[in-house]
Amino acid sequence: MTTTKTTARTWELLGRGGSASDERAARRPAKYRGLSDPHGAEELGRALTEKIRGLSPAAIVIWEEPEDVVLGHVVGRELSLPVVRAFDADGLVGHSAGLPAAARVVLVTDAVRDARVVRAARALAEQGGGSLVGTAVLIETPLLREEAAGAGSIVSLAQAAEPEGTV
Amino acid sequence: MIDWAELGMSPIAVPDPRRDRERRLAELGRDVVGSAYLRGDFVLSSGARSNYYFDKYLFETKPGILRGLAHFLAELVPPQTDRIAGTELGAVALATALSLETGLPFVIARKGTKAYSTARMVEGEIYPGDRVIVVEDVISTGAQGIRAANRIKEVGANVLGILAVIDREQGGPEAISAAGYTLTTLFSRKDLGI
Repeated sequence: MTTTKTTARTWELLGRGGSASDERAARRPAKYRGLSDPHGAEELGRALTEKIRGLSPAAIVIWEEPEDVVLGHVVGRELSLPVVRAFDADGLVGHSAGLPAAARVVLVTDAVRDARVVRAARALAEQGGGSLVGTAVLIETPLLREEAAGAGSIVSLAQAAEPEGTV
Repeated sequence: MIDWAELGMSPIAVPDPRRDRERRLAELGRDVVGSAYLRGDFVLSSGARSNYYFDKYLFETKPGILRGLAHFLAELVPPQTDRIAGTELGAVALATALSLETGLPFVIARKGTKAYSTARMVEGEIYPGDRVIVVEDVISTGAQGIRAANRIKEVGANVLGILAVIDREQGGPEAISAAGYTLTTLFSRKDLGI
């Protein structure tokens, strides 16, 4: 797990206000409403990319949700990596084509709100003979920390002090 | 003792309704397995890997099986039930069949990990205080059933319980119980001989 130093600009893009030194900002009720600002999404995606680079992934896995599709696009483009979309196919995890065999995989999502997303990414990677080497999030939630054992290295731009579900 | 031959008659075997029901339920279980049990390397929605999978669509799209399931599930619907709920997409066919069998209206619970303020999470007519039975197809960890039941509670209705076709015996009943709901299933994995 990396130590997250959140800049005032990141807080601003995440919609929480405050500053890097203002710890109370992280405890305020979330205003985050997804990546609705394209410039903000680009900036956050690039910032997250820099944290992922050191994990040397061969593929990015995202869960098929609007924010994650946007974020995955930016990260995949910046790292020139395939982005594999995983989705719930009514009982099974389906995925788009493109997960290389035995790949080092990083899960990219804005925030982990459901542990199944991490577990599914890990299972998909392992099914192809690879491994989930990291989970990259904009906001690190307590739920993700609970799943840390199976999430690989966790990289984030900010940490949520409030209970899961409010991000 | 009656000498049936002397009377020119033969005794009529009167079926035992309970044994007949068990036989028909077992036949239905064999039909479900025969149509929907697949072997392979699967990643389940729970994130777990499994070497087998019940493809719900393979049994929910066969009218004979669907009718049989609705018949037996209807026996489990409490008499005070106002409404049935099924989760999109897989359980909708079951909810529809059960609705036709019982005459009770049904609603569709949306799934998804994110709730957007503009989205209705329960489609159809439902009111606070309604007594609702949630119907599910296959229970694994129980997470989806719990989520559906929570959706129903969020609109102010009361969840009487969760009915399901198959329990894969992967901790679903325990998780559902821990979440404060009751689960009744037609078949366990063991019942189906798997």
